[in-house]
Amino acid sequence: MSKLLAVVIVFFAGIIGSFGALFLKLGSKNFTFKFKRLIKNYRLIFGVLLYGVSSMFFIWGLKYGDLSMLYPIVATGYIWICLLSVKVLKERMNIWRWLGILAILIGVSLIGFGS
Amino acid sequence: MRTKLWVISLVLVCTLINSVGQVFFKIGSKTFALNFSLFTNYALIFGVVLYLIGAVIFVIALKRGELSVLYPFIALTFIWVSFLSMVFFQEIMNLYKWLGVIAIIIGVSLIGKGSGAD
Repeated sequence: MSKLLAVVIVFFAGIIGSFGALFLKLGSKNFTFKFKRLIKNYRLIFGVLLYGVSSMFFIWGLKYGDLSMLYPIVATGYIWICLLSVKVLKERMNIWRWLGILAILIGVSLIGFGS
Repeated sequence: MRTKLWVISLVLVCTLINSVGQVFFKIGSKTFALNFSLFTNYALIFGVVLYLIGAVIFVIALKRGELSVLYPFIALTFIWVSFLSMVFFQEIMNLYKWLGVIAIIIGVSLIGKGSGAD
C-alpha cells in the first residue's frame, strides 16, 4: 500500500514539476539580474515555487519507495514537458526528439533499476 | 525557434553544477534536522547555493531555446551523479547503470539531432 502511495506521490511530483518547468520557460523571457524587476517576474517565481513543491513531494515519496521504482516515474515528467511545450509554447516535436525522450526514459529507468 | 549549440552547452554546465550540488545535498542530509543546526549545515547550504547558480544558468538558457529541447538535457545529471557517487559515496557502477548511461547519451544525442541546432 505504501509503495502505491509512493508511486502516486512521485507521479504528482512529476506533473507539478513539468508545470514548474513550463513557468520557468515563460518567465525566462523577462529574466534579468535586476532585483526590482526580478521580484515582479511572477511566472518565474511561480515556476520556482512549483519546482520546490515537486522536489519536496519527490523526497516524501522516497520515504515509501526506492529509486528503482520511482526513477521511471520521474522520467515520465519529460513526456509531460514535451506535451506542454507543444500545447502551450507551440513548440514542434519531431521523430528524433520523441526517440530521444524514449531513450532517456529507458536510460533513467535503467539507472533506477541499478540503484 | 531553433536551439543553438552554445545554449545547449549552457544546460550542460548547469547539469554539472547541479550534480555537484546533489552530492553536497546528500552529504548534508546526514546531519539534517529541522532546527537551527540547518544554519551550520555547510554542505547543505553549499548544495543550495550550487542549485541556485544552476537554476539561473538554466533560465538564461531557456530564454534562448526551446523547452522541449533543453529540458531533456537535464537527464545528464543522472550520469554525473552516478559517477560522483562512485567517488564520494563508494557506490558501485553495475551493468544496469552503465546501460542507463549509454541510453541517456543516445537520448540526448537524438534530441540534439532533432533540435535543429546549427
